[in-house]
Amino acid sequence: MSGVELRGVTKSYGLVDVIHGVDLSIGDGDFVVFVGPSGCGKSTLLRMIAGLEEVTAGDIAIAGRDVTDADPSERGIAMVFQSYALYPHMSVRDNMGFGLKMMRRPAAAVASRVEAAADILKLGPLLDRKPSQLSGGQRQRVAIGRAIVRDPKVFLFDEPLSNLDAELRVSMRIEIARLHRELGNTMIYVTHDQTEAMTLADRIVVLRAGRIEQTGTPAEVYDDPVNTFVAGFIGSPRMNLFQGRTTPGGGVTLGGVVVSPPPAARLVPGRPVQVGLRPEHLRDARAGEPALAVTVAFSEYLGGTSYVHGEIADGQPIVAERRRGATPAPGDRIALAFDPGDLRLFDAEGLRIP
Amino acid sequence: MSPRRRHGRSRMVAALPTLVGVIVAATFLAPLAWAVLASFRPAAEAAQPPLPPWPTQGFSLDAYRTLDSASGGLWLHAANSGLVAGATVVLSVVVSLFAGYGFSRYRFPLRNTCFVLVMTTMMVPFQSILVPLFILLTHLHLQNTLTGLTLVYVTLQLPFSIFMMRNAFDAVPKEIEEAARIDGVRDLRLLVRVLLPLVMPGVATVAIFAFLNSWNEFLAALIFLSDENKFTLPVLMTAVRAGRFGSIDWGAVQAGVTVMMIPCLVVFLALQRFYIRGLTAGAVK
Repeated sequence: MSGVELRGVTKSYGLVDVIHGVDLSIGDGDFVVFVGPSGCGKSTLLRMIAGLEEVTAGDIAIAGRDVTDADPSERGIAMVFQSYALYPHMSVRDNMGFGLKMMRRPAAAVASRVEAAADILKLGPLLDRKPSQLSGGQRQRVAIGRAIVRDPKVFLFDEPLSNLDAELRVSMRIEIARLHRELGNTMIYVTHDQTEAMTLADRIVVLRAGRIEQTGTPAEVYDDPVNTFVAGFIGSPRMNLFQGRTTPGGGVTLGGVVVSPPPAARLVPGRPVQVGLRPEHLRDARAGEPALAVTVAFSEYLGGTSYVHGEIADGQPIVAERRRGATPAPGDRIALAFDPGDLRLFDAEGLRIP
Repeated sequence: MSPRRRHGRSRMVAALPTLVGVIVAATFLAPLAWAVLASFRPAAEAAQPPLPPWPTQGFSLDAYRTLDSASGGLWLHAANSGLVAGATVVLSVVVSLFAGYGFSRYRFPLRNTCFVLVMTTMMVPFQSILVPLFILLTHLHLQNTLTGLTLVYVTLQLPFSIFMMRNAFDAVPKEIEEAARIDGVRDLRLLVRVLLPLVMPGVATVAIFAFLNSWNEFLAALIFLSDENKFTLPVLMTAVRAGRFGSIDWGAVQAGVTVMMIPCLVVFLALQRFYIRGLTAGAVK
């Protein structure tokens, strides 16, 4: 059992609270991604788990042992930094073996562990180079190798791919996913890139302003956001959020059209609501079907899909995804329909109406 | 214009920087060569007009013998100088390493005020505090000792050294230190095993400045040392330069200059690689 437990973890700098009593339980072998906008505290939370930031209040347990006040080296963790943080004056081999050497492990044992890690990451030919002789992607692989050599219970990744170019980011992402499959360790990964979050995570933790907004599988977070923040943050382009109003008949007015919400929705008539609708759930309306009248502002053509930006009848912005067909021109008027089951309703405070 | 002539001109243009470089280097080397050559002139020749600067009646070590015959002998004074300069280097490096690390990494009350205070001492001309320093050393029973002189040199050297080392530590990314903490390296081991190699340019710069300044320093040594056997080389030089009838023994002076120059060259050549990196570190960022 090498999960991570956070109980009421709080961090304050003077009078400013940056993490507000976070409770989180991470299971053994889970790949958990902390995601959120900059300044939401995701890195701080990770650094508290690593022991690089003091915990103001609350407890952290790793593998069932309370490590709240333990030294970073005694927590059974290894960390991969955004800036790689390799020791510039040491060769790749020494970088990877440094931690074990400092624990006074026998040289032969260190060497075999380094070789094994280098095999996993295909770093063999680079072992005698200095970090300055490596490319960005190679440096990050060395940083991951240094983490593997420590054989930690928990891997911590702090935006490890942010310094890499787009192509390399994709291949490193795949490599990290492969590592998790092969090693099976618990991994906690911080990113602001939701593609990384969606593709890598077993569970996503969405943070905002030092609080957990939602925890769930990528599908749960995407399909069932608990509030408008999560709805807007997860997904690209963002989920459309319209201001609407419930009608006495149990419907919702939206851009002058009355739409019928999901059957299970518990609505109080005459209240303002926010209606969420993902761009890919909008399609061209068939004749006679109830639909939103959209005036096209512009279209983004991306090859396989295009995004149509426009306004609905009452002037609220809308983005729709189109998989095929002609891209509409600015000023065109189109009718877009959707399945009522794809609507997500939120109350005036932004909380999901189940 | 024929191709050959154009080729010839472009080669001349290419050689121009080299030519300028040679001229500049020769200009800088000339006084050094002059001093070294002149130090080998025999005693009779030394008093004659300085042109040509090289010995015309055969090489001689007269000047060095004169130098060696003064007070405790050349080796004693060279050892005094070496001891003082060496100790100044070691103490300056050690103290500024810790102070620079502290100023760069720790948050404590009045940190910036303390740092500015240390820096402002660079603006006090050291000649103006010679008398208080003398009184202070007397109270500590350190006047007329090499230890006292070393302490004065270290004190004078520290503001610049701390400034240099703080900048060197500022340039080391925090993540490297954090990675080391996760690797289980702390405190002194962190400083020596991980950070020291990264701030070597700063250390080299501090060492070079400490060495050159303490090796060449004259005024404080002249005032604080009264025992002839404790004189450092610059003070010895004033003692030997007086020849007969108030004339100046130029040969001995040139020999002294030559002797004093050698360690400076050695230290600088040994550390220049780090030193140049140190002065330019962080210049473009």
